[in-house]
Amino acid sequence: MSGMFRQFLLFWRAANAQCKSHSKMASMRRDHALEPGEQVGHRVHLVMCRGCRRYSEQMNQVSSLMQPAPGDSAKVPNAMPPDVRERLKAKLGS
Amino acid sequence: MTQHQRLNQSMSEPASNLPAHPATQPNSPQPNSTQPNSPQPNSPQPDSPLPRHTSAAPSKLDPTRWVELYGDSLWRYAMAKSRDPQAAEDLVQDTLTTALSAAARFEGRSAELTWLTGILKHKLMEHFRRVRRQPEQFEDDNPDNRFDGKGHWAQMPGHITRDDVRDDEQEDLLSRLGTCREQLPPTLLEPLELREVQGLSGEAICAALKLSSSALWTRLHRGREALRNCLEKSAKAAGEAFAGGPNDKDTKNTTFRAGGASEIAS
Repeated sequence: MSGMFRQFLLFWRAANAQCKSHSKMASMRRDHALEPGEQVGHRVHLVMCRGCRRYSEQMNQVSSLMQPAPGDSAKVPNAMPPDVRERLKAKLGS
Repeated sequence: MTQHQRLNQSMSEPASNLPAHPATQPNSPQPNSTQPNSPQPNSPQPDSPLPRHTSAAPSKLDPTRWVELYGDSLWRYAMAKSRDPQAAEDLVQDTLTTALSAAARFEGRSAELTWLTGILKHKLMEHFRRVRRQPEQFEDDNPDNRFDGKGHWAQMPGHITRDDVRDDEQEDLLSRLGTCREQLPPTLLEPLELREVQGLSGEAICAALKLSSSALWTRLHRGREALRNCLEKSAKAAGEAFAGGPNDKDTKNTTFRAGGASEIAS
């Protein structure tokens, strides 16, 4: 029961928080750093506030732009480039 | 599971792709096998190309062949974590020189490659910590100005996409994001890349960078915010250049203004 009360308190605080706090929550939501109550409070604010809604969408956009595209793992090379190999061999005297 | 264990687990993921070491394979030939006179095709011969340390003398190291034998595996690991060829080269070199000086302490309890990868992991941790300590040369354009005294938006956050780009919007955003990324100080970029590019969990990043979780959330937020602000700025600049914006003295392009920066300027 105290857990539910805590979540309600978090919800209430989040729902009544300023846009400045919600701009940070928009980022924390992406890192799964919000408690359930805070998350609901944040969403309620987003429904009402156009500025935060736009800001939150843009944060999501920035995050997804940073994530590697599906074919991106091919960029991790399989083998050490020959020039690096030669340099290392020379430096290690082998 | 402690944070450290979790981190080790996440750090060792690529290592599972590494080829199994000959000494750890279950079917490796035993000297006292039941048929001592039968030919053993897999056993290391004196002239065999297999490294000397495979099963006969696990505690003997062969540093002269490290680059040849384990270079690829170490390189792959360093690149997957650092994504920077220069850093990866330094890290592998550092690992091998450290291993060379510590060779006397190698007890042969683990395979050579496992041992070297362990050293590389430590070097990577040091690398991330060092990058984090670099001085900040980043101009923070005081994000608090965006909010009024009550903490509400002083003005609507601007667009980060350009108005004049429609078809290849994603590509345009990506190229501008690349430029913005370079301007970000390592203190903000490092956690953000660990989170977004490598997909590490918050706990793993906290342990790797020795940060408290609230410090990490703040840094991730500031990093994303800085990137967003930079994108907004560059979209605005590009829009103004395209439309011959209000501060642009060269107004020969003003005919485009109607289709260009009308929304951005508002």
